[in-house]
Amino acid sequence: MAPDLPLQASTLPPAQPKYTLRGHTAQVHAVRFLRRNSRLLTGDADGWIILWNVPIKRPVAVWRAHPQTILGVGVWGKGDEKIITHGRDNKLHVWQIRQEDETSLSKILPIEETTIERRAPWLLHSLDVNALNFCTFAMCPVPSLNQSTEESILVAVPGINDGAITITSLPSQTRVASIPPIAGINTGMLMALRLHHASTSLTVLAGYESGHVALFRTPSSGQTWKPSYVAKAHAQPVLSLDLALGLRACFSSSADAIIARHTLDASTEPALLKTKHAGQQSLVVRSDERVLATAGWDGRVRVYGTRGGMTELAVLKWHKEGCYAAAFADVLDEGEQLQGDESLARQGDEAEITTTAMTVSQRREANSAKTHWLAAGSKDGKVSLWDIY
Amino acid sequence: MEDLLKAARTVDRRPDAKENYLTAIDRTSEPLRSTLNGTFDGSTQVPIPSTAALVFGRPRTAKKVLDVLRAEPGPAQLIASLSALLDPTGLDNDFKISSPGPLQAKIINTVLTSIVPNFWSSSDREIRDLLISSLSTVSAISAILSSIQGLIIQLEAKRESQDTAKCSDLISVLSEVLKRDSSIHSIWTSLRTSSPSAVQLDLVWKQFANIIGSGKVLSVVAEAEDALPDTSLDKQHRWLAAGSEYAGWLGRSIAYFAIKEHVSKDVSTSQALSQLLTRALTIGHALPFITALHTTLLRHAAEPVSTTGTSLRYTAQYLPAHSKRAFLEHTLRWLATLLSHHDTDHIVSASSAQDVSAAAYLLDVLVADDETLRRHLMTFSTDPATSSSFPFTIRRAKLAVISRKEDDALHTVFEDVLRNFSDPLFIKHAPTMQQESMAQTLLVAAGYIHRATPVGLLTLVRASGHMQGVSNRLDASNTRARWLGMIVGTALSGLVDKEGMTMNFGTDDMRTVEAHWYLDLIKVDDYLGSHEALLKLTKQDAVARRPRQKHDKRITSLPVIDGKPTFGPLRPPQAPVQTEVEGAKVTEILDSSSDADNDLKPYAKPDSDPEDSDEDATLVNRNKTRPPVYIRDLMTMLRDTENHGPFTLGLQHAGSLIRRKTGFGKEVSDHAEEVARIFCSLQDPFDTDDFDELKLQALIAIVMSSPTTIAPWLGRQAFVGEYSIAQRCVMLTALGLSGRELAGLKEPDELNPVSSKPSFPSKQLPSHLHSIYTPSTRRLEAAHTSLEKSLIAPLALQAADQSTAHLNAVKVRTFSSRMETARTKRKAPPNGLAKIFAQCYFTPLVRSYQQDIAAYGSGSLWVSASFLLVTLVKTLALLLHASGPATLTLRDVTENFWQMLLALRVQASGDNAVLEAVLFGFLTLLEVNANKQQLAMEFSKQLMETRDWVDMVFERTGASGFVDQEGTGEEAKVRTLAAGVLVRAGEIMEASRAAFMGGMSDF
Repeated sequence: MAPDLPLQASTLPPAQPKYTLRGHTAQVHAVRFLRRNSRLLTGDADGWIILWNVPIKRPVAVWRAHPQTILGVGVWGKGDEKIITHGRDNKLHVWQIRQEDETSLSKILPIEETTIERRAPWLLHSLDVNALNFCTFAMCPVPSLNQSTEESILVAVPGINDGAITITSLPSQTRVASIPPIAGINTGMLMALRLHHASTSLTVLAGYESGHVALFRTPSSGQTWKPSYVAKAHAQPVLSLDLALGLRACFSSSADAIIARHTLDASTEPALLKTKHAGQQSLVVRSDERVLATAGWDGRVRVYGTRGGMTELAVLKWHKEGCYAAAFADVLDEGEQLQGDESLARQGDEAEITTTAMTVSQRREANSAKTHWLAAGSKDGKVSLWDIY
Repeated sequence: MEDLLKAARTVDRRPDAKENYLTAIDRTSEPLRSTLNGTFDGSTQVPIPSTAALVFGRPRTAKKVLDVLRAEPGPAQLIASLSALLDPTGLDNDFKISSPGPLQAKIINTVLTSIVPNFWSSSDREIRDLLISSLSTVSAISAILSSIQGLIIQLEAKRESQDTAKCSDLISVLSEVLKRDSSIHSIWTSLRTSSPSAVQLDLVWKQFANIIGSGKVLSVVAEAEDALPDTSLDKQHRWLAAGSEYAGWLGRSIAYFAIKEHVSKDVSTSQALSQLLTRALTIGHALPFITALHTTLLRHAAEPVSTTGTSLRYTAQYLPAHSKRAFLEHTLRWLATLLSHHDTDHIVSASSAQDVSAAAYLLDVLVADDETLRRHLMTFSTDPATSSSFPFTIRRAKLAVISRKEDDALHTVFEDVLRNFSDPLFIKHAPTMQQESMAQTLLVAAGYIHRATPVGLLTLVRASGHMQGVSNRLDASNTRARWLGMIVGTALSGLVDKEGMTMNFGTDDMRTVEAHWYLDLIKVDDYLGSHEALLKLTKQDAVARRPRQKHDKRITSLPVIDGKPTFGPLRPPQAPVQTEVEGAKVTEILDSSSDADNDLKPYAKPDSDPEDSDEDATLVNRNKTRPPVYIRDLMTMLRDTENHGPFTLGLQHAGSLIRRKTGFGKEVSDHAEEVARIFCSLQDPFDTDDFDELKLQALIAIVMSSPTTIAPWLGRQAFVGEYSIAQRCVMLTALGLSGRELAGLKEPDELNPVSSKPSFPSKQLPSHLHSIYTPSTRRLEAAHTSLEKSLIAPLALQAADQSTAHLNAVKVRTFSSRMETARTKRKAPPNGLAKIFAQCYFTPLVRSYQQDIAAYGSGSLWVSASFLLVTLVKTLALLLHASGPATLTLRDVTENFWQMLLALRVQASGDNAVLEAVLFGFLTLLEVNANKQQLAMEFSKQLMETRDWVDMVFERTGASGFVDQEGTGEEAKVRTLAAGVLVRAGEIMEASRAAFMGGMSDF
């Protein structure tokens, strides 16, 4: 990259959304990119799930996954074929949508028609989540020792007791662990969860109603789960958490105006950023761990740098009502991109035999995959797409 | 248990073994006593002492009681001795605490000086009740008052906490003794049973009536309240110092007395009642008093029918004649307020016929068997001044009552009124209000007489000087007087003359809505209503008058963040919210390592990125309100006294919104009156910036939207209702400024109304005081000053010109200056005010003013608050000037305004501000009437009077020597104005002389 010219303006002009996706009638509670940024999954407060084709910005699958609010969505498996949805009906569903399944699913958006029944995709698993709170599930893949078997994942959901965590393994549907509430602290309800499975140990990150953030690691056998790190960084309930493993840090946001950065290793005190904008939800760190974004209740999505001073880099204002969900597209590094291009080209070869040059739609897909999307879902049911950094 | 322990400890001033023993016993008696609490309901029942009191045995004689009380008794002894005092058979020698006597005085004195300070504030209900009962006597009440008076003197000299406590204790004793409605009655009954002789009874009761009825309690307690520190007096005892509340209590008490006693035939009792009532009628808060009296009587009489009648009659029967008159007048005033909240205008809707008959019922009951009261009622109908001070509905009720009598009382009334009405002096000099009221009375009475005996009316009309009266009226120069004569003539002729012979003037002004309303008055036939109807009316009134609770915001002050006060709803009372992060330490991220982020260039902020209004995340308001788009929105926003945002926003956009929407559909015109009402009574719960200015702008806008309906309404509104002086001033100012705008005279800061801030904030009072002491008439003042200058300046120039007449040859008008005057003269915009000034602005204001003065005399707000009067006169003068010489019916306006100004001469001589306003009024009058000769001919008398008076004023102000040479200051201003009036008057007289000489005077 060429060094910055000294005369260049110190700031970029205010960002504007590239696209807006209007499909939901209720507030959008969850957004997530999948399949190498070619698809966007969104879920709303009425239980509707829409799978969008990002390059052409059209829906490819619409169904009602839950009769009540969607709390969170996730993806699993090779080629992101399995989609996990978590609703307020105390269910966690795992659906299978392969590329070829998309054609058979309805494309009629809820905004057009809500009464007719859409065909739901193939339901693989259904878990009961016995907790009456708003905490969405967390998941992480478990690197399988045996390449041939299906990749398994761990899913963490809040337990029945306030502050307890239950971890289940899928597809075996066996309970792996249950973490009791932290002794001696009245933490209130569980508000946010994150999981990470390193080679042998499991790291569980939890945010609580009281504003506490706690870190658990797999105890040696026979021991009970105890937090290795507890900090009260917020005066209000924690709303979201995310891990940045490369930085050995995690970030938390809450209903107050503070964004906290916790270090994973040493039990030092968290670093706080007082943003003066209360209510920032759905904190996500981009896959390259350079920026993080929050969806603000004041209708603005904010982007902060992850390193050092957590400077506010951009304020994305378009939504007139509060934002509840934000997601970054994966930043595919050059090698990955090339690989992607090659694989596309190879597909092209198979299809047309004669040429390796990409068709228009392929080029569009490739460009879309390379774009550093940021998607934000708002109370007004709209999802805005921004191209940031 | 605990409170008892505390009480004992408080009185335990000599902690020896015996006293401790007493308290120990007392403590054990607690459960027994608890059954007593709350049984004392305020009748003559005496609380039964608990058994503990009996442990020591009761003192047998009054002397012994006194000894016990003097010897600093313990609670149990106190209970024993007090209950012995109260027990009718408790003491020897037939001793009664309620009757006057030296021993009683000693006991009361001891109780007040040593028992009350020790026991009152610390004792439980039982001792308090005993104290209250034993102090419920005439001599005790007067003793309490004199001790309070003594304490006030001490407090004024030096405020000591001991005296303060004593004083507030005494006040609360007094309040407890008196507060029940039945107190007065029970004092009377106990006095009567215990008094040995009628003479003594009479004397004591006279003393009591003096204390209670004459407002002595009121003045003493109010003085004490003033001397006490703010917080020391409990809120529930403050009624003793609040005039209207006290008067209400007195009314209820007297009503209770009457209800209890009206079946008994005891003459002394009813005389006692009338003594008290006579006193109470002079207390100065007549309306709350009479309201409480009548409503209580009505409520209590609900069960057995016709007791209202008897108890009401009982109340009034022994009153002296002049008190009867006052009683009747106050009753009428009360009925007037009861009826008038529907509409203050004289065009009465059909629904009020019921109300009129309900009022007639009460009057009928009151005067039924009482010749004096009936005579007074008739006088009230025939006397022009009194009659005009009541609204038309009351006049109707009076006539309905009079017409029900068999004798020819109504004929007498008719004759009297007709005589007055036809009197040339009355026609010429009486205010229009009185003339109208006489005409109305005449027509309604004629209707009644005609229905009863058509021939009777014929005789009356033929015999009395009716025809002469009509012709007198037709001669009158005042158009209104003439018109009234035509109306009465036509109406009466329609009743008595044969078909085809009826009088018919056939002019246009006999076909107006008002004329038809007058002509229909002969058909008015009100029946006597029922008790239920009246009761319903009083209840409606109570509902209508319930004041809107002002949002009490000063309980907790809003937080201050970063040195700026925040706005918003009050913090809800909540468990302490944690806003700071707990834990050992918090490291704020420093910018030291921010170089890592440098490769990411930040985006610029979007157009708006407001920071949170509050640091506490639970209080951040995300529902931003938008400015109102519809009048309906505006009204809801202004009614929202809970939320700061909508209220302020609504107020800020009110003026422009109303102006924008005027003439756009019927949105504004449909709600004009409602919106105006909101603004009239709007209070500022949030200390909004520029509240007065914004309110004024909105009011002007609403008047401008439909001046013909809103201006008269606002003019009347300024005189009725329960508005503050500031609110009335704003209404008048809005009228004045809207009138000027209609006339095409824009204020200099019209286009940028809010920008005119006073330059030096340091010279202002603090904002909350500023708004109290300077009602928003600033704009009016500015208009007044500029107008005054423009009126005086040419006169001064002329005077200078004349004084240098010998230099005439040298005076040259420069060419350039002439061009300048010609160039700056713009074409005047059409004067929209001239057409409607008399009807929509002038008449409602002056009529309401005269009615108010007639009704309340010197007690009227418009007399006592000279500021208000000044504003009124200046408003009228400004409007008249704006309306200009082209004003329709300028002659009538001139006459009425002149009359009003001349009537203000007395007041003006005592108050410089009024004097200035009156002089300004005169100057405007003379200025606006451009036709000098006509003015001199038609108003020669007024002109001469004015000139003489102003001459006197001029001499006086000049003589006092206060006028400084520079010509500044109040006195100088008055003098300048007076000089201006004199010059103008001189000119007019000169002009008339010139006309008389046929233009020869020049030679």
